Amino acid sequence: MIKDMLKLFITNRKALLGVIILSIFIFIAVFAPLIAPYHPKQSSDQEGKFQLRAAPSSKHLLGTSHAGYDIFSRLIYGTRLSLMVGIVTGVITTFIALTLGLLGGYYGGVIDDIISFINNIFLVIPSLPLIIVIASYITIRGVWPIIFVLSFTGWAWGTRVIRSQVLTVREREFVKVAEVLGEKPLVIVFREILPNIISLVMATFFTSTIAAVIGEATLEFIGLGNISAVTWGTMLYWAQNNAALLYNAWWWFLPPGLFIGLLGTSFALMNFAIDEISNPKIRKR
Amino acid sequence: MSDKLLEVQNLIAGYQTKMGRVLAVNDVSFELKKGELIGIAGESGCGKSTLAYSIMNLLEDNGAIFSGEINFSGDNLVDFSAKEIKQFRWQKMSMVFQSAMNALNPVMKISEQLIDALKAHQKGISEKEARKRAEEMLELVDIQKDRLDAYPHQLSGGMKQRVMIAMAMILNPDLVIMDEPTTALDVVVQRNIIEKIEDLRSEFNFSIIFITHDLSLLVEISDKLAIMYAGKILEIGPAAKIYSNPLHPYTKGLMNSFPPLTGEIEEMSGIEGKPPDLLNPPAGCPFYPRCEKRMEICKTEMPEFKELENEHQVKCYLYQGSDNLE
Amino acid sequence: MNKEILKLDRVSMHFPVKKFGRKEEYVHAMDDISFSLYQGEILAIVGESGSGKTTTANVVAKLHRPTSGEIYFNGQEIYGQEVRKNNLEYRKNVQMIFQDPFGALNPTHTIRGILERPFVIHGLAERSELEAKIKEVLVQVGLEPPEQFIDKFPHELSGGQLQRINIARAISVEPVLLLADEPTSMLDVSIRIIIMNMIKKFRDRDNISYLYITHNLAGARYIADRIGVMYAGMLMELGPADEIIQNAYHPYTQLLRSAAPQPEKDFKENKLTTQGEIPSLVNPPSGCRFHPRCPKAMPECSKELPDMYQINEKHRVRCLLYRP
Repeated sequence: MIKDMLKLFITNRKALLGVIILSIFIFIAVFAPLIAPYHPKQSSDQEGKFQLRAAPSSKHLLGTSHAGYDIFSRLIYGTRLSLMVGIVTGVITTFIALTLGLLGGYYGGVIDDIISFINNIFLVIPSLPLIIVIASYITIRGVWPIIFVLSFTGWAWGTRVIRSQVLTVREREFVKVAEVLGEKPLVIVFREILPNIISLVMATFFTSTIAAVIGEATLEFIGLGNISAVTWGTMLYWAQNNAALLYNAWWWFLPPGLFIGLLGTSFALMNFAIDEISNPKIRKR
Repeated sequence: MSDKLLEVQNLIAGYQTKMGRVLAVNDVSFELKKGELIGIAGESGCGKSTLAYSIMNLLEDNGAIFSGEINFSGDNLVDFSAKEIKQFRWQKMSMVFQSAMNALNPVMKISEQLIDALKAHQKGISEKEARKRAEEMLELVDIQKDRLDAYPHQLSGGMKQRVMIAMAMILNPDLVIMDEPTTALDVVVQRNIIEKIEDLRSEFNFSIIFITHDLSLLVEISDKLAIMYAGKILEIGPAAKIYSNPLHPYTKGLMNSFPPLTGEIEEMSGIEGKPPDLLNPPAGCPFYPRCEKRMEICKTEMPEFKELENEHQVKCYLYQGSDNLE
Repeated sequence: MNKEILKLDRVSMHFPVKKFGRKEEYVHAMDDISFSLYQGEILAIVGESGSGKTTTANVVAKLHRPTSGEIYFNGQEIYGQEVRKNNLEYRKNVQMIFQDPFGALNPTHTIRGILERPFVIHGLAERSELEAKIKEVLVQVGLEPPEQFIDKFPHELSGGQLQRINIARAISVEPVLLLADEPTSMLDVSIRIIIMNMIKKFRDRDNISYLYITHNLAGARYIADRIGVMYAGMLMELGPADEIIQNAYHPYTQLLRSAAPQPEKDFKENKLTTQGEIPSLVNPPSGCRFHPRCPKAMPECSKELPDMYQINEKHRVRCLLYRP
């Protein structure tokens, strides 16, 4: 069953493209030291100090930053944190959404009332301002506070969607059968309901991850992250701060922006396979 | 015979899939006279719905008619262009679908849906005339005028089905195909609707192709009865004859699946097994694996129709070469 | 005298209808239902949609708690202390087969995964014995060789095969009472009789009692010892199966009888004299619920709700025509 589902990611052409792109990013992240020509905070080598704000050349494929760092190397190394923050946040958010959605949807009653109430509050508050407000209050600057903030504000949508789906699955007859057979409620939740919402959980994960990647970049960009960390977002921060746009130093802001977009796209593409998992009828004949 | 309305000849139709062609209708032939009701009996997967959709030219996506003829008053519908079919459909031939839930637009009033059907085929008709005709049709199926502007969800299952009948009859077609029109309804409502259909048929003299798995119902209302299995018609003839003297082992098995309301309560047997895969239809008779009376030849060759008497035909080697009924 | 396995005593089930602001309304799915079921008996409850027959089965299966009235299983009240203390025991004794063979099976589990559960939940087999037990029960429902089915997923099997799996699941715990909610209505015609024969076989062999819900009068006659007729949430007539069909007392039963297809008769002879539809269960008609459609209605029928009157020892009718 799982094997069949995973196969769909390969047979669906859009999803396959997404998987390939993601694999490339993971490869870059893992093998960064081997791919990047320089250390991201290296500002000189045997030949002397690097030129500051240089345009692309054979020595520096994407030029150098205001501090002389090789931009290409920073881009490669930046993949690590950007990917990590995106995926970790995606996992945490999905986990919260799954737990709350399952509990609220299956048990109903007071539990559901409380969960829904909190859920609705978080849904109504605009997330970006909330992220910014919370992040600006956190005094520690770093990557983990960002993960925390994004998870804290990002679980609401997934919870709502998963809860709805659980409510539907709960009414299906095989759940009633389990009750009549004498299955315990928790067993029913994990054995009967969960496998039938897997595709939705995956979709939630993909969506949350995209949101996290962009959210992280946003926070870094406005300086609420750790500006000394090497991520795509901080690259944009420094690019902006040094008027890269004004001077048309496209090699500084375009690559990180492009990578953010590409990573987001890879998850969006993989999402296409999800439709086919949950609806066997539209699988390509 | 000039009162022959429909003649289907060697029709082969089905669906093109990744794994090959599914022959849901595999060499079907039958005739229908004006004003006649032919019942097509069969279980799920026998191809009866595909047959209905083929005749109406409603096969979509990967569905298609692969070969054969559908002669309606002399014209072969298979050769019609899309434009010709569009004019033809609903005017000469219409359909009542199984589930009104799926066939009626939930966000349109029923009067609007009837008026739409009218306007699509009678270009010049005015709103007022169309509405009057819609009223007439609904009255014909015993739906009161005050329900004219109701939405489908406000009507009961039986009423929705009657709206479907009104819609099918609005242009006074010569043939109405009904695909399991009463299957989803309660038995009392079903009988009311069947009686209404019969009244309408007497009054307007249109032909009906009535498709259902409920053989006992078909025996009651049909003039002619065709038993369909795995894309083929195995037996066809006057309904009363088939009921009193079923020839094909499958027909006998089917008859032996409907417990009677009167008489002895005897143990019945049904039919073990399931229908063959239509993706790879067997070379011989499709009923072979489940047939109690099967013979070697049945496995490899499909028998032809043998007419036994009075238009009662059967495709079975038990009767090939014998001119007497069992 | 056979043991009384199940008894319903004036059971009513009202479901609240959620409406904003307006006064609370209820769907009267069951009202004042009383009957008994004896060991080894098949009691068919016949009715059209909205009659309350499915709710009756659901209530006995403890999927809903009745709004009023009591249900006794083996003499014990099912919501009483005794049974509450050991709910698992009730689940072992009372099992249910549902109408939709596909819907009743989790599409993400194999047949093995599905058939293991009853044994595991009720501790009826050791881990090592599971495979053998599953194969045994598959053979009992006619799915041979069992190896062919055990690792399949539901979508790979036909409706008839799936319903056999559902039955296998239900009988694997060796229940005393089986609730069957329209078990054959979604199956092909030629398979229905086979499933009904199987149900009878288990009754004959293991003395299981059945509450058999159906809308098909002929099917009820074939399989049941007694038939109860429900209309709009109330029990209208109850008695021996063949007697109810050949000699129906209640006008509604007579209507059902004449509406059923009878191929042996000429269609024209068989015209119905009753029109109308099943009433709303939110605002059921006053007095006898059938009175608006009843060809034999009298003025009192709209004012008084009749009791169940005994026609003979085994046969009762809820109709003022038979008031002693």
